[in-house]
Amino acid sequence: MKNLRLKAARAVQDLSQQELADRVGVSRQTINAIEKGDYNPTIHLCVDICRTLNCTLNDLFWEEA
Amino acid sequence: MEQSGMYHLGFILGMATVLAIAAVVVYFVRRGRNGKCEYDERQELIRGRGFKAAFYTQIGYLVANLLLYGGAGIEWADGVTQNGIGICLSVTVFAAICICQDAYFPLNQKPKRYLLLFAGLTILNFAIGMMNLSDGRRMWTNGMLNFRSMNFVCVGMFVVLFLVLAIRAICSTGSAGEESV
Repeated sequence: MKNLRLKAARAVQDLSQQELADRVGVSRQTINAIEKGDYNPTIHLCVDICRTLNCTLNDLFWEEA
Repeated sequence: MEQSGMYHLGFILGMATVLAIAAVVVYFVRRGRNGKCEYDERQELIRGRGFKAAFYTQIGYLVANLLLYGGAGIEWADGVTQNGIGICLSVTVFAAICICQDAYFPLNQKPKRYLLLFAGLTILNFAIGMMNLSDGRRMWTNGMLNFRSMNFVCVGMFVVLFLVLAIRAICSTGSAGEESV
């Protein structure tokens, strides 16, 4: 499932995939794979992304029932 | 006996030369960075899958070889060539899987150096193979492939990897624009 909330949060911060990837220490393709729903990140990476984008885990990664 | 001793000495010296050249190449490829390859968690996962696929490829190749020799009695290559082809096959499978899923190059490394390395090794192996052929040395002995064919096997491996890299580069260039903000 696509993670559109991550994409939106990134857009709000005016960050490209590459910039976000550099800040959290992963490759651009990894951020792309997370947004496309092709890869489930570890909790460690989720926390790093949330901190960088000033969001909570619930905001970006919790799936509503 | 004398010839056999010289042959073995030549083989050892040849291997030492190859290792020395490989060490120099690795030094130049790694120059300019801290020396440690850094992969992110997704890349580590993909590389694990790549190693697994390469392992099963090697097992499959060995079983097929065993059936050919033991079962059908077909001898198609000498020991060095058989092992070499098996290694090339496994390495190709691993590298192709990693390249296809952007897990081959570390975060702190430029793919351009690897492209140049692949191109250089392809040209080198092709040149050595052609020199052997032009000197009248054949790639087979008694109907079996011998170690001189390994140069062309390596050329085949690098050409495949080069093509995979090129296709991957074209695909990622096409989608890079829409992947930004």
